[in-house]
Amino acid sequence: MRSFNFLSITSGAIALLIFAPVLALMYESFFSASALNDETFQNLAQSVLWDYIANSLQIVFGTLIFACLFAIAPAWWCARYDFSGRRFLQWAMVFPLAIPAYISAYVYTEALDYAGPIQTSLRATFSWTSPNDYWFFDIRSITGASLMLALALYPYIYLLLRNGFANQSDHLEHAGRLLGANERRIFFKIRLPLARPALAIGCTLVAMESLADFGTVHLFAISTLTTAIYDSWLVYGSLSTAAKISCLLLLFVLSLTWLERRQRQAQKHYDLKGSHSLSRKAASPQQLIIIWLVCLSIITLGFIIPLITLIGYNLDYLTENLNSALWQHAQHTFTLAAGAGIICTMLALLFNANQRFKPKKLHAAQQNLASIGYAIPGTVLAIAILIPLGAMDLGLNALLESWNMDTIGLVFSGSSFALLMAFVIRFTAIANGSVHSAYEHIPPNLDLAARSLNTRSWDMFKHIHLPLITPATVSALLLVFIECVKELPAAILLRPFDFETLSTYVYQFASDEQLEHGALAALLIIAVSLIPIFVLSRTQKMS
Amino acid sequence: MTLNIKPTNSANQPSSGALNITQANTLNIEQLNVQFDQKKILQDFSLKLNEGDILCLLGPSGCGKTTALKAIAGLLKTQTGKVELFGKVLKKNAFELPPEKRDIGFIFQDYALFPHMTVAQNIGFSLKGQPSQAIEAIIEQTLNLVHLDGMQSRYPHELSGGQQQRTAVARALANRPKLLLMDEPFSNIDSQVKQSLMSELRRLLKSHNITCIFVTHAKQEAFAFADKTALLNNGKLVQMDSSQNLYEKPCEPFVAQFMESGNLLACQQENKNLFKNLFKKKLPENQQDGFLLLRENGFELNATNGESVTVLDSLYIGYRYRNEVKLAEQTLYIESEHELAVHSQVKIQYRHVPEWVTQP
Amino acid sequence: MRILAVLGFMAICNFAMAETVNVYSFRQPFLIQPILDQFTQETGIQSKVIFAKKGLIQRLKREDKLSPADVVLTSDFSKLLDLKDQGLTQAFNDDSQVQKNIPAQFRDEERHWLALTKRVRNIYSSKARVGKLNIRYEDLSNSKYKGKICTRSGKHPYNLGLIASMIAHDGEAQTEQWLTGLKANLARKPQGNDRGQVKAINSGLCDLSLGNSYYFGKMLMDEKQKIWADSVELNFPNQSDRGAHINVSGAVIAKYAPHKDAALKLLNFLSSDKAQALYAELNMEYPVKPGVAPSKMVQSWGEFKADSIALNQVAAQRKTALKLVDKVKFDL
Repeated sequence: MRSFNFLSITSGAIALLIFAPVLALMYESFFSASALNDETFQNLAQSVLWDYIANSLQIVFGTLIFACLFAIAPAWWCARYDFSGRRFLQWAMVFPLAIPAYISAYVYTEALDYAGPIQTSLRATFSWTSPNDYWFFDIRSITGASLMLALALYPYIYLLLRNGFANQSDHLEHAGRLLGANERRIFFKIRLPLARPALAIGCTLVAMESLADFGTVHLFAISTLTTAIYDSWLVYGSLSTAAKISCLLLLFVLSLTWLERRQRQAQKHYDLKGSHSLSRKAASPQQLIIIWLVCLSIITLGFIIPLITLIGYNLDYLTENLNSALWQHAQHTFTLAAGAGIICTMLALLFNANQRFKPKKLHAAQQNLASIGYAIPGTVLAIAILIPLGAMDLGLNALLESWNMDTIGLVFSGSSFALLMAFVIRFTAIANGSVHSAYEHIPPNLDLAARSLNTRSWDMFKHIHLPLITPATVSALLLVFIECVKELPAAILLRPFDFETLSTYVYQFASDEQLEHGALAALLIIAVSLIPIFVLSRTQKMS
Repeated sequence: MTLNIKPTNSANQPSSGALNITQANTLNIEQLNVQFDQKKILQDFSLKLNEGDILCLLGPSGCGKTTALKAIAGLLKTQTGKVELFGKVLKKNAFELPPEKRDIGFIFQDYALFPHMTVAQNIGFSLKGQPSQAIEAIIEQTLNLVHLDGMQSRYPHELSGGQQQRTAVARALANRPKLLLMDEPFSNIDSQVKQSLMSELRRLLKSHNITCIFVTHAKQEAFAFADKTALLNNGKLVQMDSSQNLYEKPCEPFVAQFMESGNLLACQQENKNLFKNLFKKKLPENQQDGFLLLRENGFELNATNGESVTVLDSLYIGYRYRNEVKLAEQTLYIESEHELAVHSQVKIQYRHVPEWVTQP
Repeated sequence: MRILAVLGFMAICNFAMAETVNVYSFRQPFLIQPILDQFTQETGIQSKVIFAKKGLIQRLKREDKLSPADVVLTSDFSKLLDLKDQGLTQAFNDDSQVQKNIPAQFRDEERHWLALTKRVRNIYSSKARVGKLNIRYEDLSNSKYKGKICTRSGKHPYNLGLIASMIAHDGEAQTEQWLTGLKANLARKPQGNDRGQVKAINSGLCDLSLGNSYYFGKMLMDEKQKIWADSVELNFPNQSDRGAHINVSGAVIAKYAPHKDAALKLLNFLSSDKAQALYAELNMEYPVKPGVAPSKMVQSWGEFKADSIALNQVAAQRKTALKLVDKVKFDL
């Protein structure tokens, strides 16, 4: 046991390290020299800050509404009914997750813009000549951005809800029927309320993601809190203003996290012992048609149209897109993402092993602390990381100088180290979640049995825990890898200047209105993002 | 006469003198069949039940007892057969009344309380369409009935197992069902409180004359709770009678084995006098091969004319000992007041007239 | 610690291998790469370009004396002055070629920055619906253009430069009024880039837009975008009074430039006839070096009168301009 004191201290230190940027952020925004007399922030607060907040919140609510529209009915159908092609459809509904919202945003802007093919042909058909002659949905609006975000994010709600429905006991429906309720009443009084925690968790996830979105709103020129952070830092040049707005955004996000945790508590009570999984009903031919029609149109909007458009771009610009820069960026991105994946997974193993061998409130708290990283929007995190890393660089170089050694430049803040750190802070929570749930499936008696056979902690970890949690560990690695490849807002601020990740590379082209040239990179991101969906669908089929 | 109890019409047998034969059948099930994918889960299941009776469906796991319960409730698809409740047809061949119209209350093994509703909301679930004051009154009454006063606003996860069960009972009773079905209602209850819960619930059902069928695999629950017990095996009703008759007069070896009625001594027609020293009294006449059922506590030890057996083991079971003894090739269990030395020889003799049990 | 030192040493070695000059560029690499290639050909000095639209100044500040940057190339004058104001630059030699090549009005008195090219903030107008205009920037707030104007974000340096010059000329109050009027006239929320606005004129969404001069040439040279350019007229504003607003791209030597000599060589080269001609030819900009002619195409757009106000006078209003953009909620 004593050898694991080392473990406790290490994991505590790491948990704190992950949290440190947040503390630095708060310091920068409230106590630093520039924070006290922050004219930029005062100007902002007097003029547009409230509009930014309003815009952010409108985007969140809009996204939630659209995402629920896309997610709820298909989740119910896929959990409740048996119909031909269900196995395919229930996974195909997750495909849109692979398409970053800003890519859909770009594609739909091209199609639906005033100069786009749809409006142009409408004008030609009805001989309208100016935008005043008719009304058309303005995609570059808050509604449009919400729609794009919802198309990319609804799978979170869909997955959780489908799972929530599928795990409901038949008994509850039977009890309801025997108490005189018809199908309709049972759905609205029993099924839906029971799925409420799942729905709420999905919604908080979507809310957090849409609140943290940078790419889509920036592309649509909608000023939100994230773009305000970006502008404060890069246009106004005020780090303390950026830090203050970051704190504000963080406040929103943390309240969402709090809400989510509460719902998870509720969910625990809803998981009654001895409950069975939901049995399926065969869908009638009419139901079959409706299910396929609705699901297929959602998939078409969220996945097929953007994908086909990108493939089309690629066919036009293939030779240009196959240039060497792309492969270099891809290599950088994959190396970095793999590195982050390995670190996150190791940390997750460390935290969980520590909690397993020495179950203490303190260790659980460490885990929670480390998990907050996921809630921090990428833009906020980038600003938060720059503060301590910049200071570390200056300190290190001053130290080297005092030893009469050559200075070594910005090894922390100016290299991919900063980006790696951002990825680790954000995505340790994902790895942790995966490993944690695997650990919970190992009965504690197994440990006791091993202990009674005189197994040391390390051997127990190596020979008992590790083999049992290997699938979860691999999937943790995979999930973190993919999130890193897709991550945009932190990468855009933290990447070293001669360094592009695939997403910043794609985004650069999208914001220059030349996504054609980034289409191959975009397809690469999508292909990588599809991997876990296929892996997940296969493992689920087996179980 | 007691030997030829036929399971299918046993409800009409005046096995306990209190039964009123002329009373109309509350529940009438005829030839009910359930099968999934060619596998017969329930075969020609028939039974009749009178108002206020508590029937126990007993049997090993997988015997189809829960299926029978769900079939009566209309919770699963049945094939042929007929079910009537107070003269109302619940099922007749292809016709199936949907479960919400059957006036049947059901207590699930896991109680199936709606976890997102309070106790009061759970109980009031079936009471929609009445004025809210009336609903509240019923909820209060019902809560009082099951001794859960003051628990209205608790959520199911805040209740103990017994309280959850009583909430489930209250929810079912609030709907004033004509028949109450319970699926293993006591399996999740601590054995410490099970006894008192059972007698409490039984009093409640009896005082309101509620007809009830419950399913269990534990014969003690049948003894403690039921007026009558029906034993199922492999989807078929084997015997239905009072618990005492089931225990003491099993109609076939399976019943005796399941009820753990006693020792089954295999007897062939030709060698039935093999252990004639074992019996004090004259053996009943029989025409076929079968078994003699010998209660474990019916033996006289150290009887001078007894059959000699070897003690294999002697275990304390509360105020007495249960001994495993070897009689020729057969193993018997007999009770004794004192511990018997292992490997010792004892002469034993059966005091009563043994029951004759034959394979159907 | 030792490992870090070794890593750091390797990083330094990377920079020090061949003679190199590290360029931080606000300008797209493809715009300057041909010129830098020419530089390498002539001097043998390798160039390494780090490009970012935003954030380079913040980066230089953070890097402080650790910065690898030798030269910073900007795409507008306010960045040049910002760099100097924040103490991120150093003076180039008094006797350098730069001093001879670039007229005094296009370089810093204290030799901290120099301009390399000029660009005009033009008003594009629809050929079909409006035609060629004799227009002033001030006219854009006229309500007769209601719903007819397109522009990119008010916070983009090109627009901020223009707004700052308006403040310098007309005062803050009047500019705020003008900006409010201009916002009211917009056909859509500020978005996209300068070319996107011309595309919008072509599609009929609006009639007028703000855009830099060289984009006109760039679009004419692009197969797909030629249609857009063909549908608009390029107008030089304020020809009847102070002249069109001029912005410049320029360069500075970073304060802690590790390769100062190479940096100076690069500046000398960029201000030379050859590089200036390349700028004119490739980027359709107006060279600052006297005697180097604009490209044929640019010449065909005609002579124009340029605003002669001193750049630092305009740059002084940059913060106010940004404040006004937020105050009138120009981008919202």
